[in-house]
Amino acid sequence: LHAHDRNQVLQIPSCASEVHHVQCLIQEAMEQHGYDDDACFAVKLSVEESIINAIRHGNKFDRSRCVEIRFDVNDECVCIHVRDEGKGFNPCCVPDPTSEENLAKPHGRGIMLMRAYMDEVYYADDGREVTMVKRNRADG
Amino acid sequence: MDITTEILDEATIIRFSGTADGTAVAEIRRALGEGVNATSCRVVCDLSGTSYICSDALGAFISAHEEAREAGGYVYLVHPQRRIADILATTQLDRLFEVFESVEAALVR
Repeated sequence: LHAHDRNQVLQIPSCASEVHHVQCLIQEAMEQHGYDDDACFAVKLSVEESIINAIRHGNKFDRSRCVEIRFDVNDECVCIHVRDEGKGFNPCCVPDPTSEENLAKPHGRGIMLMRAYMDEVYYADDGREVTMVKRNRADG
Repeated sequence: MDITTEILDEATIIRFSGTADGTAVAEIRRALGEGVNATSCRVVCDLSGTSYICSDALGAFISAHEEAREAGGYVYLVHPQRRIADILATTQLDRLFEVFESVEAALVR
């Protein structure tokens, strides 16, 4: 796990146990900038969902492939980029997990949760990189 | 995550306390599997102590629910905290699961 200062860049192997370290670093920065508990919860959830997607669907659990996380936390917003080394995908083609035929399926809710809990979610580089933004509403 | 199981005649009650993140999913799945097998697939999950849940953990509850339902049983959810209830509403899993205010209410259903 490698981290630099304000604009932090992390590279983690494709291993789910690494997610917690990333969540803790971002949560710590958010607390320092006065984000409320709901924002911290939303970012924690979205970070986990995005990294797990990168590990599972992007890097196919190949531990020789890394997931890169870049994030910046300031008083106004949190901006997080998560990038994998996979083949990419079309986020427009992801099935709706709330449809009748998908509701009882155990997977497929990660992107939906990210979109629900973050203020902005968008993909680049054919789906290999997702960017998520959460604005700070703690001061109204 | 702290998981405790209580086997009653009418159902298995499983209490989940703490963070249901990716590191807890295997443990959650195991507890639910044992619960489904213990009392004719009738499982009551007390989520009042659960402060966080990821989509993989939700998936464990869904799989157990489907397994129980196919065998004529159920997986009920009890008293999820506000943020967990929000996730259930956002994902519309409140259409799949029956949610109760208390363990007692779930047991008399």
